[in-house]
Amino acid sequence: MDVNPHNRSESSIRIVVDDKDFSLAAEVERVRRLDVGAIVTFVGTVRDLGGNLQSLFLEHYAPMTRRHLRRLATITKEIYAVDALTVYHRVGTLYPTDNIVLVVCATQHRQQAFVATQHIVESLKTTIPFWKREKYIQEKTLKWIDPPQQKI
Amino acid sequence: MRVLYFAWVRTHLERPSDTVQTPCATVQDVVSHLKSRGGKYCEIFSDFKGLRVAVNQEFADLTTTVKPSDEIAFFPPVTGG
Repeated sequence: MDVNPHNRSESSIRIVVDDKDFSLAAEVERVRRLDVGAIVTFVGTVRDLGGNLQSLFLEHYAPMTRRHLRRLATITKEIYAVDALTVYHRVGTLYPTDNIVLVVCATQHRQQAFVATQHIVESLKTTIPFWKREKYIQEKTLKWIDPPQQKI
Repeated sequence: MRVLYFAWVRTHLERPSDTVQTPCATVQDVVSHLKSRGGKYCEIFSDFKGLRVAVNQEFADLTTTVKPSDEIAFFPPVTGG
């Protein structure tokens, strides 16, 4: 794939909220550049521990989501000296094993990429207006998910 | 002002939004007005502990001031990621 190493002015923050899936490989290529030595990715997927999950519905408050994702990305980029950063969050109806979220952080050295990625992932869970509702196979019921207790 | 509902607040009220014409100075006034509508509104807005609020897409609280052109959103704690 072509990389233009000289084009450093290209916007280095990419925020996507969409019902469509992402390509991990394509998203990694987007952040590849000469001054980057580390690309860390996080993929969150739909989990079904009990075999009773039919689907997961993700709702969001679109304008607030966009605003706060961009702010989170901008702050994270500055704090951790991130060269390029992508947050791709899916909404709508998803099924077990589907992708929910992708975070990609590209930095000069690996340590910043790890911490920046973790910072984004943790913040997504507490500061961005997304909500999940599970639909169960057996009971045919719907349940809005409560936020998990704080855990590291 | 425009009032939006998300997640279980929306599904419980069976509507995504309302328009509030009653003069309100703070989020608390909006909550009191909604509570006074009775029924499901009263159930939801009587106990504000499980709710979050945003004014013009910024997280806010009961003391936040509001004006007629504002967009107020009520929703449960977020569960993204």
